Amino acid sequence: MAKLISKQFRESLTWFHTWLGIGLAAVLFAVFWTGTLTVFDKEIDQWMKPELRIAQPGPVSLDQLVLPKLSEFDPARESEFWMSAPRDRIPAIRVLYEDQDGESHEAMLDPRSGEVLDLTDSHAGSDFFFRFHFMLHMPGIIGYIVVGLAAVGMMALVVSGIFIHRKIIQEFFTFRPQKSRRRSSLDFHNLTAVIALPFHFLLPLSGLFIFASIYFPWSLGLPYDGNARGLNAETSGYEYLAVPAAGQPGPPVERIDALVSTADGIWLAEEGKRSSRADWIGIFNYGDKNSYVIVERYYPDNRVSIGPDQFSFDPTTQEITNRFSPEPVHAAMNWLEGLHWVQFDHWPLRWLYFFAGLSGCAMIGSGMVFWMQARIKKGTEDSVSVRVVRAMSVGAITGIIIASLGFFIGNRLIPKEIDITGVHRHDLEIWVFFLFWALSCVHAALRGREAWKEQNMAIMVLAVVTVVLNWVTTGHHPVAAVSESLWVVLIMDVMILAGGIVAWWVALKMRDASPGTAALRPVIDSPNRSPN
Amino acid sequence: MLTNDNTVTRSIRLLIAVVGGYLFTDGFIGLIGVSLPYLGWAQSEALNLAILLGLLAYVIIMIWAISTVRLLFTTVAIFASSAAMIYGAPLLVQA
Repeated sequence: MAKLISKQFRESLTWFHTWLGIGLAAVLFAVFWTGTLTVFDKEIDQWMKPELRIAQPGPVSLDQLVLPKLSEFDPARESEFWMSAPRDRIPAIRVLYEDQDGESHEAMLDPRSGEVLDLTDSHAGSDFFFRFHFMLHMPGIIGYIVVGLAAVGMMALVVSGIFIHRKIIQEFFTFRPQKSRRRSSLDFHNLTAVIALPFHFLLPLSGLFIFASIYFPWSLGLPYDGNARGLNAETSGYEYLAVPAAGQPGPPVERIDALVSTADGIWLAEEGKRSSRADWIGIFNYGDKNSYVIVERYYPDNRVSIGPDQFSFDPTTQEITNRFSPEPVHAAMNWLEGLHWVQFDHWPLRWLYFFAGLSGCAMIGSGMVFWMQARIKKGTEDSVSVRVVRAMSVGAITGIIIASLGFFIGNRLIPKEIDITGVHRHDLEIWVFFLFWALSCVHAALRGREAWKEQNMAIMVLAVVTVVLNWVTTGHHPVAAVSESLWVVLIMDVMILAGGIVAWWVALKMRDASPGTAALRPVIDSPNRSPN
Repeated sequence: MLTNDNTVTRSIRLLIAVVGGYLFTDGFIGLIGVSLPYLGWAQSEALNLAILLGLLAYVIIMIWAISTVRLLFTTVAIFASSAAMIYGAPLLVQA
């Protein structure tokens, strides 16, 4: 009896895994792909905004470089003014403020002179790929909901996948590239899934956690009179540390560096040499008699956890007025969120995230290929559903890769000073992204089986074009990049070319396997092992 | 697949998994989030734990709805418990 139930259980999950997988594959691939790129969002920023290609500066003084300029920025009275010293991955000083008209601004300052950098207007990695990862460039909360459902689906897919593949350890060590394409695509699906299994489960989980207030507004608003943001307010510390404005003008803040040293000194004393330092400094109630300074570490270098650990200071007396540190469960959640945000300074781990993300992409892609090969084997290759899924797979997989390369190409080709009334330059780049994607989808729909191969070849060509355009428009070809220590630019060029070569190799493989042979090869199958 | 399952039954299962799972999770987070403070938990701590457990519950509910052999029983169980939690949680909110 027990065996019967377990067989039924497994079979129902097989059906679920297959159809939910096919249904969500396109969205999941887009989320995985942009998430993988976002691991290196700051590096992509440097590539797309060449003004940020500055060699890493030494320690800078915010007192000398930022505070004298406060009046130039002209922030609104009683508003917040945030600044951040250069960090490992962002070589410039960042300043966030709200102007007199209530509009928010972000400025990047040259760490050598304190001058505001005239950046190329691009949403690049940290604004475009980053946001696409959780809202798909859709209006309002539609994108959040689509990604949220896909994330829950992803967790269910991982769990059902584990139940389907009972001999999971054995399958992990099984890869038979010489077998039929159907068999080897399944082996590859299992391999890429298992190799990063905790990643594939924890990332959707922590992602859902980050946007919980959007997904569960009713239950999270319950203790806060319906305000779903109440939890965030309670756990961020800003409310806890808040001091109301007096409504009278006060003296300007003149010293920040000393406050940062004080905070860093306390963290150092508490945690020893490996302690993380302050990253953001905020002036609250700007220009008011009750202005105060918050020194916080939000994205610590040496820990996984993100989230505020804050001191508030009276800027006149330089005394600490209050402190906020997270409570136990919250600290655990900060760890879970930090796991997703990948803000720690640890290059090997960052690369592991990148490759785990790529393994997720490969898992989704090979899952789709397996589905199609299984239909080909059944002789239903020409059915409408197979053709639709094939076009969707090509559009979703090679399509978004081509679109990303188109985004880089658009960035290098659209002049920095372009001036079209009513159109932002950064939007033009995004239109190029979607134009390339749309063209890939049309091509995929028209070319059927050939589309895979042709789009993989297109990726190689576009990769070369992208890299050469970078050399031509910025002069940062490998020799210059090495001599000026612009490692980020060099490595990004190399990675784009490496991706192109892989795509080319895949295209050649597909040409070798002439159409239909996969279906004709004998397939040795044990009935228990096939999820279809 | 379950012997008498057809496309309609499967669609129903999927619908119950997604919608029922969501209602259950929302109710669960609400209930745990307002109950734990009675045991001395800070409000934010209670909610954070509730979200984490709730998300895991969502996955379990989905798997249950997909794989159950007693679909009617599972459906009633999911929706009745969701309704109870969604109705009950607001009654427990501390003034």
